[in-house]
Amino acid sequence: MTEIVQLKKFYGSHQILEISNLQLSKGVYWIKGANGSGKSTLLKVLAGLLPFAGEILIDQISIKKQPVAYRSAINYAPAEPVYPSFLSGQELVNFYSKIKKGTTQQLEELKSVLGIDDYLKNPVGSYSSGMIKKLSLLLALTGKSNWIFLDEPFTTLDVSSQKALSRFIQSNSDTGFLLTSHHDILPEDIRLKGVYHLKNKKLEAEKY
Amino acid sequence: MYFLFFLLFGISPSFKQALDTHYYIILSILTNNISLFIYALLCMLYLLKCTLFYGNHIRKNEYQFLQLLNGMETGRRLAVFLPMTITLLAPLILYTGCVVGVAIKNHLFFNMVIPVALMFLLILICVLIIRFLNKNADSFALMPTLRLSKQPVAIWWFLLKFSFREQFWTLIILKILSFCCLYFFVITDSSIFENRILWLLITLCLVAHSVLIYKNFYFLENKLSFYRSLPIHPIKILISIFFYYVLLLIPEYWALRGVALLHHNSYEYFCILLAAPAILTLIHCLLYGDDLNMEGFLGLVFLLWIVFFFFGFTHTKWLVPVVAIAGCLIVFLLSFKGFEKNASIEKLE
Repeated sequence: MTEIVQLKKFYGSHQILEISNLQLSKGVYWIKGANGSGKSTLLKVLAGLLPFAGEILIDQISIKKQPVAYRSAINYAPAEPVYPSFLSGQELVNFYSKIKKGTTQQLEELKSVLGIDDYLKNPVGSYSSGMIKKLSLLLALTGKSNWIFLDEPFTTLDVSSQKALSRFIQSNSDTGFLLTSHHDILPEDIRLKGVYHLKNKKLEAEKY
Repeated sequence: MYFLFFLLFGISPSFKQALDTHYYIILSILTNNISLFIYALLCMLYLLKCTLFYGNHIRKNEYQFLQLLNGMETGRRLAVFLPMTITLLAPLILYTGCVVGVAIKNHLFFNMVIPVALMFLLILICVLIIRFLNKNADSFALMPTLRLSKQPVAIWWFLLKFSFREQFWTLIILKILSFCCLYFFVITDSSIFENRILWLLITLCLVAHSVLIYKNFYFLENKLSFYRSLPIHPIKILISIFFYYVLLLIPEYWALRGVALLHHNSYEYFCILLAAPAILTLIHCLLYGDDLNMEGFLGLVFLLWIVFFFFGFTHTKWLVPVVAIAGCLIVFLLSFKGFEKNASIEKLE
């Protein structure tokens, strides 16, 4: 269960988010919203990348009181991933799997799902935007997390990878997934448990 | 730059004398083969710096429009790259102008041929390299990297790689200056050796690392920011940063070993061993306090330098590492979690 309590996020004096109370049981959720509505900020807050006012709990683990345990319970892939250009994808994968306790078998499975081939050995600076996106998804799906936050996961992916990813998400929906997208349609393979619309700083449930 | 200027001219009592010193440096370039060789070496280092600058920029999205130039004929393309090269190499061209001026004044017409020829050669090489990089923008990213059979995967290792890959020349210049400064002072005779000057030099050398630290910090918070979403205890992150600075200071540790071996002051050497990385880590941690620009950061570093400069005068030298380590812990624990890059409201709206 993910619980958001009295969450407020400001950039300077400019308020971006105001979510009074939200509880999500495990499943796949979709957060919709226009560009600049605060979807990425919400996911960054949930991932522990940005400070905020309020409280977030994952299975009763508080982001503020148990920051390390909380981060063990979640994974996150940004909308526009940025990695050091001189590091190879393999180095990043090793770093993540060491910390997130990912297994070789799991990594191989994820590589085949996302269609990542030998390029992991090359420096990230030589990757295309689609390859960087796949790398960020691979990292976010590494290890065993309770919740995975994916910001615009289908953007820049080719059609076959989009389908493979949506099938993967659906088959692993015992893990909670929070997906964002500014598009109106998500791939058909995903059966959503809920849809929320982020508008005027607030998160509103939509009929689905 | 201020630090280099201080080292080059700061010791001259007047501006005229600083100019005179430089006049004789130019004269030695014209008359002495070793000086000419050093001058040529420095020119080539600058050329390398310029080409690295271009190579790093051409890969960025905002400069990719420059690759449209690849569609032009070779002759026209070179004509476009020439003014760009002249702009990049302007400091060298101006300096060569000074060399020519001094040569004419001293009737050393034959001696100025080599510096002028070198200048033209560097311009030509630079144009050709820029042309190559423009055509093969990603070749820079595929430059061979250090491949160990089993590389460590930790924040300190990524920082170390960043320093060697992206700040290599800054690192080399800084380490040469810092090493020479400390080593040649420490090997002076015990009768002349002055402990307080040693601490002045150490704190100066540490403060000179600020530029590296600033870039390290922004590398960590921009390119490596994903580490904040990983389950790593903040103290482990601080230890990783501290360990990286210990590794970075190995040349200084080696240069200063004479404090223990020649001047038989192992206690003071031990204090330096602990204090130096702690001061660098403290400078790093100060950046978590606020999203400072370089100017604000250097102001803060200057204050810190004054504090540790006066601490260096104390007889109870153990205070220096203790204060630095306590400062690191306090600043880090108070500011690390709350750090956030300044966002532009205009962009948000």
